[in-house]
Amino acid sequence: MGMSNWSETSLYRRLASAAPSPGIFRTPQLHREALMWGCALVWLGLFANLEQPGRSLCLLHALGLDFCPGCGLGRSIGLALRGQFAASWARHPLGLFALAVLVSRIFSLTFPGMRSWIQPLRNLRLSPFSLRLRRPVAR
Amino acid sequence: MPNMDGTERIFLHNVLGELNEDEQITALQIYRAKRKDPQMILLLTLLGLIGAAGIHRFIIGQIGMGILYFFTAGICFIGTIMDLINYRQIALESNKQSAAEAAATVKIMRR
Repeated sequence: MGMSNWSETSLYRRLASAAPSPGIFRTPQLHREALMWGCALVWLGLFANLEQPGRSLCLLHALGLDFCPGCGLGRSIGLALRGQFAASWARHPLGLFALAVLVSRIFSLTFPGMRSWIQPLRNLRLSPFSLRLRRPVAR
Repeated sequence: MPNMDGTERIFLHNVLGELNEDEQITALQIYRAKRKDPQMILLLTLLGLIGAAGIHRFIIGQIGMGILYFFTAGICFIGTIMDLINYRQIALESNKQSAAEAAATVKIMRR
């Protein structure tokens, strides 16, 4: 460790005058990944034609294989966004789960300061939510 | 640290700037243990092309995304290819959180 750490520390000192203010964890961010997921969800929810089979984007289909564990997920998410949950489950069981995961991912990318949506509940110290609450170390 | 780029240096400086020199060293040690190498993320993402998708998401602690990728072959390889493009941002985002946690830990130890 020793030497390299010292040199790095002095580098921080040298960067001190040039660095921007440390608000990066609080201001909303625009991530490329969040943009991609967001565009996909908006397209699936509003514009995609879920009735007719379109051209598949799937690489396994392009290679000539019939089985693919991910196919139907797009339609499933689209159906879930339009409120047809039974049809969504029939198309792909993971559709609703995927929707929830993607929405939470977009949120955590855009608002990096908010560690999770559970955080306000954790601060209330309600029993199941406060399990992973960080406690100060007593010294 | 291996494969450290300018962005990482700048956010490390932002996070560690208000600590004194000893605290910075402690925080850097904690950060070094939690840091994810972008190249490792890239290699684990490549693993998705031969069947085991989503390992990189598990590694950086996104369990929901990991399960989703694993059971849908990386969302029909679209997600895997997206992450191949984005692997640097993915590592960087996880590292930012680790740096903030390291700084918070050191501040708690100060009291």
